[in-house]
Amino acid sequence: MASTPPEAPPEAPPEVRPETRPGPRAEACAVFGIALIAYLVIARWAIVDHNLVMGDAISRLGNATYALDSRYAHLSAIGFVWGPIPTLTMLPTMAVGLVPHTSWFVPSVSSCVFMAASVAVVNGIGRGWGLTRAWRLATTLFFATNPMIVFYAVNGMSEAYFILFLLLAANRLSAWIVDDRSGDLALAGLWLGFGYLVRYEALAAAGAAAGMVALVGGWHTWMEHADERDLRERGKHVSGRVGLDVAVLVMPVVTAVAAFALVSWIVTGQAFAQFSSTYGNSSVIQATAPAATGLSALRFSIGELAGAGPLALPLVCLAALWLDKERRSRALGLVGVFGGVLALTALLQVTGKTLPFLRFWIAAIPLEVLLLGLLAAQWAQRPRRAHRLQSLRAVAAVGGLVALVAATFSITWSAMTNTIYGVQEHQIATVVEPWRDRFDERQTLAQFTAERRLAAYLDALRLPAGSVLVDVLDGFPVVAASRDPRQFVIPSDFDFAQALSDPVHYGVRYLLTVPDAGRGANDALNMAFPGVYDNGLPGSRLLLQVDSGDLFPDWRLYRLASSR
Amino acid sequence: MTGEAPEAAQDRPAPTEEEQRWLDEAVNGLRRERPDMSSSVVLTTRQRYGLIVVLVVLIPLALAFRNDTAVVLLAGLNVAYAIVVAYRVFLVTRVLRPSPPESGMRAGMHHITDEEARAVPDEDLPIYTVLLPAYNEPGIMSRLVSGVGAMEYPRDKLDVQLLLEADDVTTVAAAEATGAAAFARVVLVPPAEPRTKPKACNYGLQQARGELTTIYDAEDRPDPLQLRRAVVAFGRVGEDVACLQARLSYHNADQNLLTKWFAIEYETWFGFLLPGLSSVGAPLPLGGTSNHLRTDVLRRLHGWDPFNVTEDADLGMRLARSGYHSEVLDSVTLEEANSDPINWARQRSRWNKGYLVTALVQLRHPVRLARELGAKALVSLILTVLATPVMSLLNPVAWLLSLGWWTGTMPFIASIFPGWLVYLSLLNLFVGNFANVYVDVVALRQLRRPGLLWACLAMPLYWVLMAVGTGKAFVQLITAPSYWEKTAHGLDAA
Repeated sequence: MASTPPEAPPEAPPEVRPETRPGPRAEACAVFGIALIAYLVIARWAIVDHNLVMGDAISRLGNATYALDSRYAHLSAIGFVWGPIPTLTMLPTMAVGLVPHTSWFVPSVSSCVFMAASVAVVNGIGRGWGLTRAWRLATTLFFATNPMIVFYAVNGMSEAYFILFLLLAANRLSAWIVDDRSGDLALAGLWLGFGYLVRYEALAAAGAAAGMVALVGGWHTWMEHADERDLRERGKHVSGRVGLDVAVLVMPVVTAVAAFALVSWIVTGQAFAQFSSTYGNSSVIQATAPAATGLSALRFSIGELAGAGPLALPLVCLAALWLDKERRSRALGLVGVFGGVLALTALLQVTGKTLPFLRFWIAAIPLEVLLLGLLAAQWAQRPRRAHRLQSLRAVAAVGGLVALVAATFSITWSAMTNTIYGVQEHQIATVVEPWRDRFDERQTLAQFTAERRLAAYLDALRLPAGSVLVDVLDGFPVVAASRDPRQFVIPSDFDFAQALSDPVHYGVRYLLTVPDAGRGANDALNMAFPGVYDNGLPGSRLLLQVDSGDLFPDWRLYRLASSR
Repeated sequence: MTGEAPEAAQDRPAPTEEEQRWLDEAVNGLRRERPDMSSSVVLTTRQRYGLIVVLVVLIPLALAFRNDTAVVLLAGLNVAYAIVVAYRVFLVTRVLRPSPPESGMRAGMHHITDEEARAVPDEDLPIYTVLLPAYNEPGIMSRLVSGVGAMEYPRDKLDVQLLLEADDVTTVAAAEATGAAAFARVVLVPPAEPRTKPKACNYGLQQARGELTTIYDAEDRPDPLQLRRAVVAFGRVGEDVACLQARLSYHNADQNLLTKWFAIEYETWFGFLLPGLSSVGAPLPLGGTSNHLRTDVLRRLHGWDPFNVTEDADLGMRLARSGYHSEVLDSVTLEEANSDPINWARQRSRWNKGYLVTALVQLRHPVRLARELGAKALVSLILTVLATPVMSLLNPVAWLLSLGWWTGTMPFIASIFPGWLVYLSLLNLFVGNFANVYVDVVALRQLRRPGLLWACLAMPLYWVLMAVGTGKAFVQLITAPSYWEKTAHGLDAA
């Protein structure tokens, strides 16, 4: 029983010469490298030169500082209010020490890496869909140079991580809809699980994806058993298959939720701090201005969607009408993952349960880029006929595309620089157009100056460990800007409650306080010692007062009476 | 049973000289020719001294530096666990990759369609030896006809041997009564220790006429085309593939929770992990039945090890050491799952004991083993054969420690869990346990077994049961390493 030799592989067609074209690895690496360098350069210009920092990113940097450099450095100090992944990725950068964390460049390093990875993934998806090199690079560039993408690549916020995991999950889900492979379904679930550990909106993506999996799988199984007369039997086949498919998709997400909640509960006593804690969502919303609801909120949401991703809805319609069956299935996967997140944002904004931020709509951008890629792939496959004016048509097509991209970017840019829609972004307008005379934007670009000066002042005093009592609700920039975080007594320290109950006895020398209004009402010092901002503690004296204007908290530094 | 009285012991004719020779080869062949590969002695002198030295060094260290030793052991346990889980996941990812359609493989297994199986003309089929060992199972004989007896293979090319111990008169009588003799030759194995299945199979191997050999249990229900599929598959592979393992599954999976768990374990093992192992060229711990082997290779290796209670896994290792490969055949043999926990525990303890003995025997000369297998296959051997019983026992220990740490009632536990070890252990607890259950869920999805999903989510309870079985195995390893705990069959009476 001799074995038959395997057939020789078919010859490659003559026009493809594999030795001369760079392989997929090389191209992906090149795209990643170029995007990373570009983003890092822009980040340095934005963060270090123009202080274009975002509060949430610095707050996460603070968390990383508590975990690594504080008086009681421990990993669970990264906090359980937000997903742990962004903060965790900052730890290696800080530990290695190449970037001084007082420069506040550390969060940007991580977000640049993840957004550059997203760019490489977009490129890889295009390759998987059969786009030619020109189209691939065009769509990759369309994604990478989008003003909102650039901004969120450089500012250290969690959007970069979220987009990466959503892209990976959407790609796998699309692939599964077409070729029904268990591996794709499992990986989609795993990426969504990671996405949850960045932002909880991933649950919406997971829910929408599960619905899609149930519908698609259920439909296929129903048709597979078309010759089964007994409807109940047929239904049993469908429910069995759908149950398994949804289980494979959903298990990683459920595990991520349960594991994070369990660890959070063990460490802090609260399982879902994202929603319930004083640092979390609902508390912040209550303390800041109440959001609009109902019809005006819906109008606002539509405006934000049109600003972030003006092409998103039109391309969804075009894809539904024009794409062939296989590409339409892929588009369905994309709409499931990204659309799920967008739908949740709309729901929460309309019911007033979340903040009116443009960045919550950022998922529209990868959606429109990938849909454009699918449409381009189909358009590139159409039968070509020699035409007298072919080169003219090509130029017109390219011109049209460039015009489209320019229009899209200008719409997004104007949304970002609009004070109503780009609530958190519009200060970038003053950076780019310094003659723009808006006081609030200049103030925003000067934010955290007070906290940095406080940190420098305290550093210069060369205090021993545990000298300054402060709550990180508003005090995180001070700790994050200090060269010696050990001088602070912060909530993540095991003895914070003891120090708070009797600061003088505990060896605390200074109190750093904020006014008892707005977010400051939840400040631990204000809650423990009512009126401490106005009067300090008995026997203390006011050392420093900082007036930060309307947008940012004022500070008072009190020196406590001591035995020395 | 018929009305004839069973033969009395003294009426039985004495074994002929040829039969004596066969018996001697069956019992002593491997032990005589390759004593280093035989499980007749579990621990060689060198291994015994080595173990004593380790204990002499470790115990005083443990007593003197209690905390540090505990931390080191726990860290080592965590790392080992993570590696074992990662390997499992790696094997599964190999199997989930798409195979080109012309390779005849699907998900890492040789996939032969019904048409391809029947396409071979009868004259071209080789003689196939089918060994059916049975001991003390008169009630099972009736299933032979509908199970193995229903296989699609020309009768004149079949060499079916029903291997019964000569003094097992009840089973012999039952075999004759149920008409098994119509297609099977009843071979009476002269009584001799050890009374094990591999010894009986070796005896049958001496008289085997077939080019290919396989084993079935008497109550197995193999896929009727399995022998034909094996023939076609052997035609496609090289001479270095000496064994094709078919998939085992259970016909009574839905009987109770235990059978469901057992079925999930088998589906994942035969449908995912074994194909994964064969795709990386690792040695395969073979299943108890439905291993299709080249007879000449089997003879050269002196057959199975009669002193090893998991002779199948042992054979897989010895095949690999001699440079042969084993692969998986996409054809299902239905067996009966143990539905009774006590019986199941006995079977499980036998399997774990066998794995431990196999690992100890194979690791006797580690340098030679590394040279014969290659580094990758050696690591695989450790991660499958040695790790399975060890991890199975340590799992509940880890859980108990976690519980103790969490409730914070025992300060000793807190002292042996420094911060970094807590995080490492938590990571293993969540990621590792999740990965183990998730691999099973994905296997169920791939192999289309929806009815087992809920049982799968409760798998951690099954692991507790497995630990009980493994504990017994460790004890028996010392007290009675070759004792074969007989699994009762026929508990699926329905």
